[in-house]
Amino acid sequence: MKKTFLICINLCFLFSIFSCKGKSGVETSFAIPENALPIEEQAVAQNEATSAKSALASDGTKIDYDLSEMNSNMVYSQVFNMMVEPEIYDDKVIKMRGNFVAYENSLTANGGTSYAVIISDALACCQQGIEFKYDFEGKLPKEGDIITVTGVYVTAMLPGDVVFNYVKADSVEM
Amino acid sequence: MLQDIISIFHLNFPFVQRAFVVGILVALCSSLLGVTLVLKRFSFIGDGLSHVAFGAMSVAAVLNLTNNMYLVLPVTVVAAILLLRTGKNTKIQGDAAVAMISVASLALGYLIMNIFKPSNNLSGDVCTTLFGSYSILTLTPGEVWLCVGLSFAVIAAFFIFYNKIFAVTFDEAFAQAVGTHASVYNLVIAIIIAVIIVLAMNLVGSLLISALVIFPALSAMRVFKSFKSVTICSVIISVTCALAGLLISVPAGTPVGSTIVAADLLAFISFYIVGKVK
Repeated sequence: MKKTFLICINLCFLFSIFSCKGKSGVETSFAIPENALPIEEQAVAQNEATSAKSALASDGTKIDYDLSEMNSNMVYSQVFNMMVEPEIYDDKVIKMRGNFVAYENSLTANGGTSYAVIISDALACCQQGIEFKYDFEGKLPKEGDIITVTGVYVTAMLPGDVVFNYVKADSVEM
Repeated sequence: MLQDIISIFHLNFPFVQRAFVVGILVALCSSLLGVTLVLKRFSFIGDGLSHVAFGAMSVAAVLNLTNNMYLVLPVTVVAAILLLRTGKNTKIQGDAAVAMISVASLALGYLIMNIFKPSNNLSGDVCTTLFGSYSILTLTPGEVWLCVGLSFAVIAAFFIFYNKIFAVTFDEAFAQAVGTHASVYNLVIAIIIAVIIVLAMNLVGSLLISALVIFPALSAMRVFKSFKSVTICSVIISVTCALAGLLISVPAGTPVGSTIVAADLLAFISFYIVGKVK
């Protein structure tokens, strides 16, 4: 009886140590922007494969997936899953933050320049990128600059029935 | 309140839900066989087999196999059979055989990946495979179903062969003398261990698999003495620590494998103290 009681106390102790970590203790590898947007809860739909906290973009668009608020491992995993199961994220509003990269002679830009946001995991040893399309009107960020992209995740086709995904950006903050 | 909990632990994301399902099942399976391995003095077999699996994974990556499980699982099963069935009539005894195969597989695997370079980020791939930083969060639905199927097969095999596994674990010679085909059940144990090792690599990585197998069994043995009670306690500890590790690592961004093993270590220390007090 004494043994069982001590074991229960130990398990409760372990749970209390590991479970009492509030959101304030969450570390993120990216700085929270000064103009952080208010967040509202989004109702979870039973017939949807995913649901997420939503936020408001600067133009009032509801954000379905705010990658800029997650820690590095979650962002990396989320981006990986967006590549593996793009149909779940199609037409969803995404906000992501990472390093700006430009690729010349890109197939996905009809031979022009395509842009991407590169996101690293916590150890910075693995990186994933998401392509985005945006008209910079000549004010291109420098390679490697940290940018925040907000837009709609879309699926497109290349010649030869090759499917690729990108974010149709509504705004790019530098 | 519930919505807050779901948000904090990111439980609304399907890949996090999959990680919890697979994590709990893998922890459950590894703890079941952990008791047998510890009692048979084969605690380091997990380490050895995980390194063999790493070597097989390297070959699979170089060969560009769509699913590396097609190569990794059979190779690991063969290695498990060879290691656990070599018996006492071999020139290279158990622990030396494990050490030899373990380091050779690890070295050859890394060498093959360096020479043939299956991806541009070799260090990242190797680091993820060895330490399981976020492998559990990047499982495809197909991989999850495979893990679930294999886990249920392992659990079913353990329950069906429980009495024979018990007999072979404690006194193999006596079991053989009373008509139990000890070699067959050793083969069953070897195959189950290989399956668990391959599954557990997704959760904690190659280098930390031994902790997942050993710590819950050793923790339970500090307090309980019967095989059944040690096994049940081992399962509870393993699942609790896997849950705790996932609940911390997902919101905090810590490596999943290391966090789970840290939880296992804390559990061992706690049960060690309880064992001393009683």
